[in-house]
Amino acid sequence: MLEARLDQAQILKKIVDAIKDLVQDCNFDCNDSGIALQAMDNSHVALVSMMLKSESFSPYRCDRNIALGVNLTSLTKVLRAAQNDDILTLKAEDAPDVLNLMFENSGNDRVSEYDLKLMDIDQEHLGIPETEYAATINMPAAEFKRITTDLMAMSESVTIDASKDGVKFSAMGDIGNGSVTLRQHVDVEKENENVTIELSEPVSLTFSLKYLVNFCKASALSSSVKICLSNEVPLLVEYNVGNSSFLRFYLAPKIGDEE
Amino acid sequence: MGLRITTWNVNGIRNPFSYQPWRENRTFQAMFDTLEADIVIMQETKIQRKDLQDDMVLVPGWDVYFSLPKYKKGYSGVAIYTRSSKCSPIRAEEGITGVLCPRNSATKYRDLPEGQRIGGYPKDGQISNALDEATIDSEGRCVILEFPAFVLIGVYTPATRDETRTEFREGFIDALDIRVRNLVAMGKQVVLCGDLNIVRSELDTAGLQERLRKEAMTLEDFLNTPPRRFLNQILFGGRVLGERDEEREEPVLWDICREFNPERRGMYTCWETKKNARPGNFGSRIDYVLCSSGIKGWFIDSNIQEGLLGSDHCPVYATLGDIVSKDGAQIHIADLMNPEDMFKDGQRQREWTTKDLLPMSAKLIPEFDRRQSIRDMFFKRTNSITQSSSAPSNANSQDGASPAEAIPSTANTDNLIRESSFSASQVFDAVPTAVSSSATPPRQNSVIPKRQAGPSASAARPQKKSKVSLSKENSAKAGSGSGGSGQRSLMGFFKPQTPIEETSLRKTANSPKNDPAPTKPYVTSSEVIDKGKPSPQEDDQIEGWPAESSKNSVDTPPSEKVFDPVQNKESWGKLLGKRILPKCEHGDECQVMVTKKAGINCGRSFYVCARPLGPSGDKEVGTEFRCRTFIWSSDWSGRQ
Repeated sequence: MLEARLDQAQILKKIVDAIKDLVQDCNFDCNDSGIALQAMDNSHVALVSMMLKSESFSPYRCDRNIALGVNLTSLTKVLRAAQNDDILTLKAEDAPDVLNLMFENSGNDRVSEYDLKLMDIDQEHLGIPETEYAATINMPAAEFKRITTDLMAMSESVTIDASKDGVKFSAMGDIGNGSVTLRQHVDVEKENENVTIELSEPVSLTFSLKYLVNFCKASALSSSVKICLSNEVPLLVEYNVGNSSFLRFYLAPKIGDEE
Repeated sequence: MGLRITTWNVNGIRNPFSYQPWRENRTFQAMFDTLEADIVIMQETKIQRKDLQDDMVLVPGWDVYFSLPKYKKGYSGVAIYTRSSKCSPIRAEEGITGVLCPRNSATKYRDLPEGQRIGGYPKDGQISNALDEATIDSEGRCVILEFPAFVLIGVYTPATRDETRTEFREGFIDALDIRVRNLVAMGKQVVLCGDLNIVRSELDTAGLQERLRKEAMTLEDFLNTPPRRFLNQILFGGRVLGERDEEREEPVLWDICREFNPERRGMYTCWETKKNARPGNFGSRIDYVLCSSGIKGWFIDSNIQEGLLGSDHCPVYATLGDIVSKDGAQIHIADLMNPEDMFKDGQRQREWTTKDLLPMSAKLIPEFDRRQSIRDMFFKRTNSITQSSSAPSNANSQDGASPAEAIPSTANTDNLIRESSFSASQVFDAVPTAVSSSATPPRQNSVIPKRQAGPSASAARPQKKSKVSLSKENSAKAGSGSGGSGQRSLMGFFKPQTPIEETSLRKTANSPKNDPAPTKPYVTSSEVIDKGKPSPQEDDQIEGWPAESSKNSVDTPPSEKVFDPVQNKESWGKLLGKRILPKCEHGDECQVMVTKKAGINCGRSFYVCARPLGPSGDKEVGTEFRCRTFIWSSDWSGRQ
């Protein structure tokens, strides 16, 4: 039996909105520590990893580990019926055929309830190794979104160079080239505009912008974003959802022109 | 085993996946394996560059070269797929004239250094047509690959459409003719294949006599149309009437498929879908594999695959033998279909690497270039290793299945609604006999007069309107689950009139003691509606109903006025029932079609036999194929 009550339906709405273009069907794995999701996109270039810790819910109850196989397009349809401030309760049996979603409006006493049919999804699970990244960049989520959309106009791919001088996003395309450079920037008064860069060694990697732009749909979830890079390791883009819950995207870099 | 070249106008690169056997395993890899092909030339990919997907570009074991239209989107398009284990070209170009530029380059193919270009480009003055070369190559109609053995040209020649396109069609064909002849003159061997959109001779099309008669042409006229003259002059054994054209003195290509099937009739590769001409094989042969004379002996087989569905064309193939003779020596075909150092005596000397990718390969389009799998970068958990390869296809199939499931379910509910409306009217019909005297809530009453109005006034009202009112009843019914009971109680309103046999309505009204219930609820209910829903249409209905019914009830005996279930059903049936279709000579129902051809009849609909077009066209008598039946819709009264 799973019963998980989320104060703000918008958290789940925004998560599903952010990943539904990357992943069509996926399992929500529920256990006593929370609800997790891991899925790769069809081309196996990107990976989504979501963790909603039990602390993000109140109350949270999950007696047995269950996997809820969900079609995200269908889930989006159901979630459209929820308003952002509705209280969302997820319920499922131990061997469920359906996921029950209940939306309660605290203002008036409106309660709506939906059963979403589940499916069996054979999903491979990747063990994501703990990684010490050579560069970790924190910046406003809106800034990262702007950089990716701006550079998308120039090229299909972006090279991210992190060095002691700062982090540079550059794109070369048919019509010309462009770049955006950010330096460490800390303002105690406007904390959510801070840019921090932790660097153990310089890194330079190239990524498909299409995917980065896609990741930035999660900007609605959090005011800041964490970007981690290391050579020979996929890029990590992390949005914090609160209570140590997170939505992470991994992206395989393009193979370099070493030859 | 050999090496098979297959050309197929797929009419949309994903189109075959809707048909057996391709729908089983919707991957290009599986499709090519089923075709047993090593080189596949596709025409009419009808895809835009932005819609190119992983599954059509990154086909495991295959490389692909696209030519897509520069301006028109989702139109035309040629792709050549090559099986990397069997062959990999040494040069690749887009377009016939060489004026296009390689990707990320401003140098035209024709201006590349000698060793990097395929050559044979039309020289100045060779193209007499007024079209400029960039226009000829702007529509994504030609991919050229060069192997050490030969130059492979895959084309999609513009079809005959109307006068505005004649110049383009002929200009394209001229350029093609010049390029092929130039290449042959350079000493290169050429394989030209694709949808040429030209019928070679009278042997290659059905119903020619009929068509000639209709268009008042002679067979000479037919053979003398410029495209057909081109084809017959370039082909060994082509039928050229009169003098050969200048620059076309010698034939240079063999029609391989015809060479292997010299006498075969009905060897058609394309059938009109609209006329359902494929079952009766009323088609044309317009897809060809042609080769220059130096390699004619290399081919061991060639045929059409008319049994393979997936498009309005069928695949056509030609197979090269394993061992071919070149300059007197016996050489393994693999040695000649790959870069020089890759094969020796049919044995692979080195593996194919990404360095062998030609600049035109679609794998180098930025979105697909230098792609790295995230799966390989993370360690897999041991327990899931076995699923690794099946997982993506699984996800795909589920992905595909879910919308398919969704569609029938909505269709079902649609049907349900429709059925419920029918059953509702049947229930309604049956009601006068089974009267229930249960009290009616006023709100449901408000629905009922409308329901009444439908059948009673149906004769006087245009069809469309009553349909609207019907659908409203549906929604009203769907809204209130207990609509059925509401219906029944209305009948309680009418029923009392039947027992009172010889009294008129006026009398009933005069003696409220007899039956006070029926009049009053009615009045109130109509008021409710008037206030609640002031839409003019409903007003109309409500006003119409009492007037008409009271008139009826005065003029006609009450027994007739009461809704006769049978008659009622009939009148509804007239409105809702299917149009009665005329029968053809087979006694089957005809199909309705609309004239598309420009002219005075354009837009008129007509009935014709619904069967597939027969092998001799649309004038078959006494066969299982389409008969002569033809009726203009406007001449059809709706009765047999």
